[in-house]
Amino acid sequence: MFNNILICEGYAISGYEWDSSKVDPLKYYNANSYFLIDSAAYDWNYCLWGYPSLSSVSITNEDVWVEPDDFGETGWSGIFIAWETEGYNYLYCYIFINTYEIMYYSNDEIKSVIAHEFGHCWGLAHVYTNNLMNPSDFDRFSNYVYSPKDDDVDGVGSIY
Amino acid sequence: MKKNNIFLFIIISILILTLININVFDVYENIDDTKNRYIDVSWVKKYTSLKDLYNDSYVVIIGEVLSTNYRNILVKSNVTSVPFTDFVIKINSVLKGFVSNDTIVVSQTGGLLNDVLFMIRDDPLMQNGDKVILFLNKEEKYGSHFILGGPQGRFVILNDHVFSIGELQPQTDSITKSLWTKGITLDDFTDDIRS
Repeated sequence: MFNNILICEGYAISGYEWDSSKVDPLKYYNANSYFLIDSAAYDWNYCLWGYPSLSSVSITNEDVWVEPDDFGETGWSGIFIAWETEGYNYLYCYIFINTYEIMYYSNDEIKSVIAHEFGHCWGLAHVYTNNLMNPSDFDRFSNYVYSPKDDDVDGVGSIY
Repeated sequence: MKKNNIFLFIIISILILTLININVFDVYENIDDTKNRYIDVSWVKKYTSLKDLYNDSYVVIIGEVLSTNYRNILVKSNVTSVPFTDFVIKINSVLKGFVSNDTIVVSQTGGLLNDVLFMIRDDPLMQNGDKVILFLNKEEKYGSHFILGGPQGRFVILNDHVFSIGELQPQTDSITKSLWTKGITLDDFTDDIRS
């Protein structure tokens, strides 16, 4: 139905990615100066800096808009919308965190949701294993997955 | 004679099952891909049984999608909108809860934004004419119900057989895996959720 997803053992690639001029560094905008957004971005950057070929790749600010807002009982806690794309390259992305659904989440759990959506920004798709890109909050939280795992970072490493 | 009847029965069964499968995949692959964009979400709840889904629902209905209305919610910062679609569903029967009208409005995330159709990758939008079983939450502030767990709370009826959404997207693994329902009869399905 959409772009073909490449599924490997522990990660899946959506087929969309950033142009090399954008990803070094990738910039995000923290709309409400929400500290957990910075914290999730830091977690990704920390993992990427430790990955040999990704040492200069990081999320900083402006190319990805990240904002908490109340969308009601939609069933999702975070949403990733790749609004501007050119072919299979991202030009601009939005991440929204549904404050209604995360009302009773701990800080670690909220950070997990934001970090998961950042994973989509890198070009990762969902997996159903014990990794950050598992789309089920329940699965991630019950396995204490609040930040990128090795498979998630390997996935980004396979793209850039 | 008896052997011939058995042989005939097997051939007819295979034909029926083949037709059902063709229909299943036709329905969701006729969507024009060229202008679609995808949305990915993180689902709050994960249901592992129909019973859990039923117990968590405010209303459970069997119905048919009559019409589609797109609406967008502008985010606080006004930078963009998030697309939603409201579906008017004609109710054929109510399996749980109370509905005062013969129609109900159900919302899904995804829809039309600046002439581009956005859909959640593992939760494609319903289409007019779809016959569905929906496990719904309580009516919320926009006057509509959302489907519990996104694709987990939606089942499609084709030729009186019930299929989960994961069955309609064979190319991807799915959050609906533990609820996979492939062509069981409507009666068996309703028995299952009430058992």
